[in-house]
Amino acid sequence: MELAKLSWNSWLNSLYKLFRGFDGWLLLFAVLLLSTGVLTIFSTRPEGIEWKAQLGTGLVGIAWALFLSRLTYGWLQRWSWLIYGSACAMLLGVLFTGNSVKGAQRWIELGGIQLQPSEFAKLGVIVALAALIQRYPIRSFGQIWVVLGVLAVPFLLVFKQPDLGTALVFGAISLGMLYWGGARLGWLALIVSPLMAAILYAVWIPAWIVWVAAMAVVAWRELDWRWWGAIGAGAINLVAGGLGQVFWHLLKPYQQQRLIVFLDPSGDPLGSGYHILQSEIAIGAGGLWGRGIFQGTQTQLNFIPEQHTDFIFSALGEEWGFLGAVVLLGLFFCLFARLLIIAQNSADDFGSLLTIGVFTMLLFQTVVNIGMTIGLAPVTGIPLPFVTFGRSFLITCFTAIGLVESVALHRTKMVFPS
Amino acid sequence: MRSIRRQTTSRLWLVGIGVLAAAGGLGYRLYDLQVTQASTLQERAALQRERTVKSERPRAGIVDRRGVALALDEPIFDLYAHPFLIDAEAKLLASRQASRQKGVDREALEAKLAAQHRQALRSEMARTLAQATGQPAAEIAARLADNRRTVALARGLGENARERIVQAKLPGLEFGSRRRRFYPDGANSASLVGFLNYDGQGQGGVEQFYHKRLTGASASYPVTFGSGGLPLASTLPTEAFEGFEPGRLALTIDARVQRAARLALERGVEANRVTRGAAIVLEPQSGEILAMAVSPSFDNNRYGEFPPAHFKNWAVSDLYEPGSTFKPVNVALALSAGAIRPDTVVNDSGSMSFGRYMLSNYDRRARGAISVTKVLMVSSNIGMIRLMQKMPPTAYYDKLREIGIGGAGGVDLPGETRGIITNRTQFAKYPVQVATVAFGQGVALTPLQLASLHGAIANGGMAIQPHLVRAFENDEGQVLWKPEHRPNKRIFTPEATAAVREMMMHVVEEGTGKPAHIPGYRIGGKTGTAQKANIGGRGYLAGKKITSFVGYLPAHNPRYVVLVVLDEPKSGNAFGSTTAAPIVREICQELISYGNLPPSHPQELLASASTKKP
Repeated sequence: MELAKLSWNSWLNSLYKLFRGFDGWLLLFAVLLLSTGVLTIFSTRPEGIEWKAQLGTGLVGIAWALFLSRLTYGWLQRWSWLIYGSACAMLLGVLFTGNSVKGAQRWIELGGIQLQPSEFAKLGVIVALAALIQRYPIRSFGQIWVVLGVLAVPFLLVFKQPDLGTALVFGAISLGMLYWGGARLGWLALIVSPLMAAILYAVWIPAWIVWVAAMAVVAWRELDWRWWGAIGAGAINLVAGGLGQVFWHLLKPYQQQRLIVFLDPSGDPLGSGYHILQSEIAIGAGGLWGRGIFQGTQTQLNFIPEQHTDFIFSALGEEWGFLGAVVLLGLFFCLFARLLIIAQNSADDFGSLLTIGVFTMLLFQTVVNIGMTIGLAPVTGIPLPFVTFGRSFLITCFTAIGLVESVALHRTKMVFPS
Repeated sequence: MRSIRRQTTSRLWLVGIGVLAAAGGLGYRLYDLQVTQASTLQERAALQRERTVKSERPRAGIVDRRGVALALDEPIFDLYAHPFLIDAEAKLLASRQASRQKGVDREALEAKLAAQHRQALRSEMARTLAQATGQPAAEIAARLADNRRTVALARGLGENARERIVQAKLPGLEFGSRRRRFYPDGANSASLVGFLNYDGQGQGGVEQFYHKRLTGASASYPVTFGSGGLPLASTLPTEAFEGFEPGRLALTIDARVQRAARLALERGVEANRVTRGAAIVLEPQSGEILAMAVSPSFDNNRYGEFPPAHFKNWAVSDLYEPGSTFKPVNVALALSAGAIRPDTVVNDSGSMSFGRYMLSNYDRRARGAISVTKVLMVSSNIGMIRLMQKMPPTAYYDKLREIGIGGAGGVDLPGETRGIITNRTQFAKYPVQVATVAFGQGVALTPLQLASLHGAIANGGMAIQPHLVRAFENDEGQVLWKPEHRPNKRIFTPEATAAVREMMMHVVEEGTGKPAHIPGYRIGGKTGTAQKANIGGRGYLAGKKITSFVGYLPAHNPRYVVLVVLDEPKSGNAFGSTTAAPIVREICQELISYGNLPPSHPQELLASASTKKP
């Protein structure tokens, strides 16, 4: 007895030592989000196997995250270029051997399991950029271009699939990490300014003119060679307006359609606008208290397409109402807060950047996904982290949590050296 | 190593504010949708998933006693076109085609292709629709040309035509569905079946009388539909399906007998230039009407082409003074009351005066002492007066009321008129009243009411309620509902009716009813040649007659009672025996084969065949 108790205690004790510094809150919020997702998937497809698959994958993901958290994340830094290379190779593989779903090549089959390499590639990009920026912190406008150059390869590969959503996630991740890595807001504004110029040119030309002027001012203030910078920024934005038309035609018709519909969903209520409109109706019909699980008429009657994947939030919004939606937003908010705290307190810049990369990825996807279901963002096929049904992405999310936990775990040793 | 970290505190704040702003933005929009706009969006949600479904039970069909369809409810379709949708289809085809071309002015190509498709689609549609609807293609093409409004292309298409059009998968078409009533038996049974007017209300016949039973209740129910357009099972109104068994109204008539009666009547009507006529075949045991033809009549499939006066079944709705065909009823009544006996002999003086009235036989001949049988055989008016005078007038009157004179027969057809007889005081006070009623004047009833009284004589003395509907049954012939009839009531004694039937056989064998004789068979009968009363006015219409004949087949144990009434025959020498009796004979011949009646006197058939008497 005595011996057993002792060993029990010592086992607990060693477990505690093993995971000292582990951010329990972070995992808790992730698990709560996962549970919400499984429940909602169950409600939309009670007879399907999806909710079981999601639950199983989630449990595997939790275990995987716990395992990852025990590893020192330093190895990632050493192997960052290999990780980056294999991510690019996988994306290249998709282009040649991938299975096509709804006109996009996104899937490859590995040992009978359908994988979506673009989801894992997000982590690859985060690791690569963290290593790069840690090594060359952003101190000048020119350094941004190095980072963007590294990003360009996976970005173009994903864009070619075509997967506009993931490409945008790559863009968001790099902007977030650049900012955290030292880039000034003005620089980032200048980076994205041609895209804005193109959009504004298409939407309303006076706004485009104002934008060009504003960017010239920003360049004058933020760049080293003020006059050349201002003139260059203005010129590029002027040209971008026209070039935008050219690039517009590079988008696939369905991508163009989605962007048009985002601007005016009621213009085509039975076509592409149908998703957004139905989603808004369902969420609105949920009201303050929601209709209860299995009670969402719009959800249960399949008015919302893709309701267990991209549009899962509208099912949730209808069945759980405003209160449920706010609770979900709160869970995400807490998750992001934990990530920020870990990023701030990490032992080194690499860990900090890694965490910020994960933070940006999850934040961007959450905002765009929810925004899309309530008409604030275009329909881009970006899944909601931890909630949307999708095994590859769920594993990606828990891998990210595991890596961040590793950052958290290895911070304590620095703060309280034993 | 810590190069970044030195500057991150301010960035942390900025990022934190960014996260808060994002959460706030999403939260605000959610509040807007789920709280501010909740009720509007809930309404919109309900609007797109809830639809009112009209449950339209088809009107039940009507069949004759053997299941032959007399009325059918069939779906018909109206075809509409939305030409702007044809243009949209043309545009879609064009843009699909143009997108495959490269390096050309796509817009111009698209416009050109769209114009071609517009033309091609329209001419193809016009051709296909012309075939399916039987309209000229040019006319359809002309109507498709206007793309600003919806145009009606065809009305009342059958199921086949609709199927052909649906198969052709043409753009921009829409069907409206209705139901229409068809009458396969048409004019043959129109006066019994009736028709449906434009509003779907039964008019005339059983369509009117049984309108509620025939009508499928139509009701509206809110039903929830899924996005696939399928209704949600749990929201379907079960009550719309419960207790509903599609059925049919089974009539007592037989279309074949009806046809025979109608054709015989029409021939007689034409030959004698009759204003109107009626022929009724009744089964005396059950009171079922086997056939009832009236002239003039109409075709219920094309009722709009006939004057409304033709819609009415005057054998049910109009009164007439029956004249001599009423005499057997009087005899049966007096015999049943014990006032006379079959062997009673009366003195026929040829004429009698009642105050300022002088009543006489039709030929004014006096026949002296004659038996009851002889009174009927020669249709003696004076003999009948003498017979009925043997009853006290009040007893006679009460008996008349008891057998149903002055009442309604209770037939299941709309608009039956009650018979007319004077009041009891008048009847008792003026002997002339008794005298006229004795030979069938001064009393008015409908042809059907008279036929029913003869039915009672034929069946042994039980009052009958003539009727047209046997049952409401399902398609397998199982009875779902049966009309209720009056309880059986004896109005004549069996002995009295047997005696009257014997007498009526003699009328056909040796008396005025000879023209109804059919060799090999014994038929009971009685002629009638009445003065036409000015119903609703006073007195009689000069020179106008109503001739009639009632026959029992076979005479002794009748299975059928046949009554033919002809109003105002204009042929010379128009009597019941010359005008109505041959029609009854013709109908009886049909009934012999229909009822498979064996001849009671087969030797007559041999005799008439061998001697070939004219």
